[in-house]
Amino acid sequence: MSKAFYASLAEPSQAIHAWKYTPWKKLHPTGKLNEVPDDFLEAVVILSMMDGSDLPSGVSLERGDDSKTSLLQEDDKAVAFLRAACDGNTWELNIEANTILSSPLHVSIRASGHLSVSHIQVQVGNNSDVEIIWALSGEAGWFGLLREGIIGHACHYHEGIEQALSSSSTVIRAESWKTGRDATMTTSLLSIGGELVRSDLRAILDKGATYQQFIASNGKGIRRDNHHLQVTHPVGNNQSELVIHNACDDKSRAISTGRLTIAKGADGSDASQIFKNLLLSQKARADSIPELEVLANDVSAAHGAASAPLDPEQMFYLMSRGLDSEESEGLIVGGFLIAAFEKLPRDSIGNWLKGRLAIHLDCNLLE
Amino acid sequence: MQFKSRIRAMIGLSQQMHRRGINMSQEARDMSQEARDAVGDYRYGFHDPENATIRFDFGLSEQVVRDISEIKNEPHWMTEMRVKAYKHYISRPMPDWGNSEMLNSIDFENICYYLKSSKGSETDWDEVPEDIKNTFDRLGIPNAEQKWLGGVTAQYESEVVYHSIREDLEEQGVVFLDMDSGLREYEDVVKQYFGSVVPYSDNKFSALNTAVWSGGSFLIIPEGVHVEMPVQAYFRINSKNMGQFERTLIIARPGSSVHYIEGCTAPTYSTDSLHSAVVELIAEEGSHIRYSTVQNWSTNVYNLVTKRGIAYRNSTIEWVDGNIGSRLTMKYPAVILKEEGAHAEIISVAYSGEGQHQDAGSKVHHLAPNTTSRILAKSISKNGGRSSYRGLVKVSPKAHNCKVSVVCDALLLDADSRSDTYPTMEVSNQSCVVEHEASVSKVSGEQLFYLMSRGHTEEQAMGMIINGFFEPFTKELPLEYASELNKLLEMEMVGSIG
Repeated sequence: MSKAFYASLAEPSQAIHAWKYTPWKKLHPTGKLNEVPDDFLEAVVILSMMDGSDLPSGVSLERGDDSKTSLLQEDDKAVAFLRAACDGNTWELNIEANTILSSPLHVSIRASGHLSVSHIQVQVGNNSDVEIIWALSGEAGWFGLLREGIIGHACHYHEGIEQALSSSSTVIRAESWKTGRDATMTTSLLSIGGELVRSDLRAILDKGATYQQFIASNGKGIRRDNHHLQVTHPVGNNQSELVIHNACDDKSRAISTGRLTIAKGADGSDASQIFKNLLLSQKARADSIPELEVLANDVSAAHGAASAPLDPEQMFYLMSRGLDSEESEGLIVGGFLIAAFEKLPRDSIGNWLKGRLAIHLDCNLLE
Repeated sequence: MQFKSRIRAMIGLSQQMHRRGINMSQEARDMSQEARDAVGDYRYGFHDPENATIRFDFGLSEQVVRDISEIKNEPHWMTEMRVKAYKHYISRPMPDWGNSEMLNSIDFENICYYLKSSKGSETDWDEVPEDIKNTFDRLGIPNAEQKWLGGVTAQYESEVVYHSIREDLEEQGVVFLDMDSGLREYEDVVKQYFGSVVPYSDNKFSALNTAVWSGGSFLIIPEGVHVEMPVQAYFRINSKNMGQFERTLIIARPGSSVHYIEGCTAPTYSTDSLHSAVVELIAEEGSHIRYSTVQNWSTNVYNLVTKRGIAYRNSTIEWVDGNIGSRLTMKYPAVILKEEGAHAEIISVAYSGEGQHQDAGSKVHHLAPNTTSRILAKSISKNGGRSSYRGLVKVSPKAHNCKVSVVCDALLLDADSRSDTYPTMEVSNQSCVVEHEASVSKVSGEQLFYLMSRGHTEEQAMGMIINGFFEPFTKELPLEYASELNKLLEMEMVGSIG
């Protein structure tokens, strides 16, 4: 996608749900809005098996083709910018049909330099059963990640993502996924890195598909974490579930916008979204906008949102057992964040995320 | 002669007179005769002959704004405010959210912005012109006034034609006037509060209302006075292509309370009318205002209304809002909880039938500590209708220990209808508790089966379930209104099965 195409797009209006709170001018790396800098470095992407064994046959990471039909929103300003910054470079993670892995795959994406970018296309063949751990790290000042994927029919695809870039980074993510018939896709995200983070995550479901997105975000300092989740049910008899748990400390801000759309005739759809915010300091802020658009009647669609401070009873309970207030707060925050992953169907990803969160919270305690 | 050229001829004929602000009504009456006879199922879809004493040509200009002000013999500051608002209105773009397609289809140049059908506001029904009196008789207003109302305002087109208040309330110092009389008799109060809650620059339609407002209610409840019986305003649009822009200001002094009810109907025409009101409530310390609306405009009316109240220390503002009619409603009653201990309660229900879009919701701003709010929104969509809940809860950094609860429920009765929920919660204070939940579903088969197994037809069973669904709203209304609303809903539900 060309720089000229990016420049031809208008700046997104704040009336657009996805752009309501974090405008593009705040995210652009130089502030010159029609410019796509030339000095982007491509992030280093490494694929391996989590248990250290060799990659099995049927699994490959190769250079991809950016000119192929994309699931990403072509006319979105951020997507066009990132594609222009990638300059045609993409990675293609291919998992052949009927692949069943006993151990999770591990994809490391390391972003370094002033400006960094990566575009990854995932293709999972029919009837496969895979788990992938994605580790996003690095000290890049500005990092943009495009991910798109097609999950084949009757697949089981589960992924865990740790976004742990430098605490001063700006991180932009744009993703689009399409699940095949009777496929199951679970995405669990632990968002702890970056100072200014915006993620636009979208999914389209086929008949019989199940899509679950679980997000835990921990805000410290002046961190701003903006998640926009969009799930479309163009056909019925499928299920989607979105869960976000935001813990906001210091002057941090969590923004969660969601839109569940059930199209006309998509009977039998079951869609829900739950956004919970734990406010830990006087200057923390949380915004939740869980939207529903329902055009079919034989459906179940629901959303819920809640914001609250630490429960003083829980604090009292822990402190009466000898913990100081910081340790008690750390335990409660850890429990609140990990609860976002309680419906994970596989232990391996859940245990890994719990371990990463424990390390992160321990480091916070030491600061 | 073709219809359009007739209108042009009529406008040409009347322009000279219009420059003087006055236009005779014969041609307009002829046009009114052509109004569609069929009123369908809408019970209030009848219309009466139009006997305008003053009718402005279609379209809006600065001169029209000045003429309205001149006819009303308003003070200079009000004229200037109208003109400023008009300039803001023309410079402000149409909202780019909501149902833009319907909004952009409104032909603002094909609307009459001022039409007066009587000499003035009367306090005796016998003095009201016969045809207007007939209209309100058919709507049951005088009967209701005698039985259970503390006061009545009846607005017909642009002007209030009748208002009354019980003597005992008047003796206690309650001021209940139409807004034009309020401006004449209490100019200082109006100057102080008019536009203080909803400034003309708030949105495009508040600017339009401020520019061309006419009629509405002006109500002041003195300190410590509790108005036990509700006061009611009734708004009726009779002509086609009519714009009604009433302005209501209610001030509850410390420790007082009032229940204000408004009802709205219009005839069914094939062309569109516009209702764009502004309502401002001021609840001073320890006071209580309940503002109930049963909006039952015909489905050719665009209903674009701005309603907002400011609640001071330990006061309560309640919006009880029922939207059944209109083609497009965009209405989000708001409360600004400005001082400690203030409370907001918003209960709204919406019914959307064929071709209707009820885009309703609520807004609450928590600006002070220990403020609380509760929002309950319910909607039903049927025959391709669309209901949207659009809400905002904003908790400011200084609003410690506030509590917010938002619940939205929607029922979809068929596969062609649509329900949307657009809630926004912005929380900037750590100590507050905000809860929101929403669900969209169809009528439970189990409930239908239960009722039908007890001998009800499917239609009756459905009607009972719908009435039960709206019960949290109807129980907040006076009995007479609640039973009327239930009847209305039953009528709307006819034919909903099979």
